[in-house]
Amino acid sequence: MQLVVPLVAQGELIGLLNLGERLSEQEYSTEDLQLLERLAGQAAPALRVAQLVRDEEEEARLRERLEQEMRIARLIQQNFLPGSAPEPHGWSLDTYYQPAREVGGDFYDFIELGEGRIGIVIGDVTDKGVPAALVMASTRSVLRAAAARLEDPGKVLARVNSQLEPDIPESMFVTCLYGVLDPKSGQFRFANAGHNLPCLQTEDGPVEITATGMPLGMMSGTTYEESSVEIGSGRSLVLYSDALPEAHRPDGEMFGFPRVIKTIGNGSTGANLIDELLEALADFTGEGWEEEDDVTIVVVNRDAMTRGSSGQRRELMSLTVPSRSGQEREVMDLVAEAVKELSLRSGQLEQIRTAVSEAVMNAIEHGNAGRSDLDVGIRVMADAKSLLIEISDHQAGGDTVERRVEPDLEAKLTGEQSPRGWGLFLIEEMVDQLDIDETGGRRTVSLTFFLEESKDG
Amino acid sequence: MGELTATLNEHDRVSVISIEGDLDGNASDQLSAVVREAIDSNPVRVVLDLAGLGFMNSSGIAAVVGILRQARAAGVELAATGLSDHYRHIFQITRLDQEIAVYPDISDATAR
Repeated sequence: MQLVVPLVAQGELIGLLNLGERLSEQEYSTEDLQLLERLAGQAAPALRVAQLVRDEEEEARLRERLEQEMRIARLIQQNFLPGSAPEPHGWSLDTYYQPAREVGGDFYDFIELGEGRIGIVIGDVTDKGVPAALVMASTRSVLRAAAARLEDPGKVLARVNSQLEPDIPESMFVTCLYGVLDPKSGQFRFANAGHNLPCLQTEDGPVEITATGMPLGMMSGTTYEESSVEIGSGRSLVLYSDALPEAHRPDGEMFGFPRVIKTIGNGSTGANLIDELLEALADFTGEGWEEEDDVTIVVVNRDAMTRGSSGQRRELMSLTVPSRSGQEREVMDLVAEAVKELSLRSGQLEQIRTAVSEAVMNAIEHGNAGRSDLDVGIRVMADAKSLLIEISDHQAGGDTVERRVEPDLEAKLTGEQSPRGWGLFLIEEMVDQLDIDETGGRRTVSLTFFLEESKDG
Repeated sequence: MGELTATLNEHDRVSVISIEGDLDGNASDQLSAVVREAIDSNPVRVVLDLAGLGFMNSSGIAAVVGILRQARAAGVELAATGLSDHYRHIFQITRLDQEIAVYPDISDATAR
């Protein structure tokens, strides 16, 4: 090596020009040196640019790969989220799901079980990106399979845990709440594998409902406690993921559970409640906030009964009859006549007849203890969506509510139960909703039947 | 519809009880008596033909449970036919259809 010329761009050494002996074996002349320096002076910036372009391309490739991974994660996740929520009569299931830029592991699911019941799932995998999405997908499948086979939410989660636990990476686990909604009774029975507590709107304000259990995938043999709540008319049950209470403001303060609960207590329900939660969150975090984690909210809302409070229900019939055996048949025929004009579903008229005659018979025989001086009141009301039939008695059969025994055919055949006692059971099976109210010395049994949805709605 | 009439007919050791009218608490004794009469002729099966059924309430269901007990005690099979969709549904929810074979029409119910 005879000559080394540095290549410098913007004061930074980016390479060297190395020259060996000249072919003529003569020394490099001063002109040669000047020429080489000029050459180096022009080559250096060009080289610098080339290097920058190469670095840039490298970074773009990496970014592209990450983007690609995020797209895959998002795709997996979105593919496994339900396209639409079930629409049980008298209920709405509203959801909000906003994946963070770097997709987290949130998921929710609705599973249609038998007899109109709906399995509701909300969960969160403790990781992000593709690994979390894959664990989420398998949790969902295992849970769906278990829910189809097992009745009790606690047993379902225990089964899911025992199947996931051996396969799930050490560092990962899944928080998950699974519950079964019975739209007819309004009961929501659930078990909770370490997920946020669900919050229920009640007469006394919002209440968090506890059911203890370890997250899925942590420990084998975990068991899960169950809780059951009744969702009242016009009230919502709210399920949500961590990212909602744990959202941070730039100054580090968290949105926090108290703000979540307080907002739930403001009185909005269903989709409006979701909007209100998001508004409260936006007000708190301010402009330009970006989710650090997925935000998921599921609201289970029972429509408000418009009984007695709404002008939109019109009265079709109102009468009183004395408590005499056989009156139930007359009432049944009168009610059938009065509801003829409504858009009843197929077979519904027969169901109405059966439910009304049983309810009136109960009122005569039990409510009024067969005293013909006491009357039974009947009111038939309807709006566009439902038919409401109220049957009231004087609670003369004592003020204790008759606790019914679930009729069991086998027990009736062996003589352990009386062959009778099918009345309330039949009513419950015929109606879409049954409410019993005992105030002011009267008992009112409200039978609700949902009508055929009009096509233009 | 109105009061119940229950008519007994025999076809080759299958007793068919045809119900006309309403099956409620008032009908219980009459139905039970006809079932006893049917069982006394030692059939292999007693078929309730409910094609003429007007209305059946919870007392009527109790009456059916009662005759099912009678048939069981005598070791006689009880079947039903002629059920409308509504009462077929009621047989399902009460699980009566698990104890009483329900046939779409009378010829299936009496076939041996």
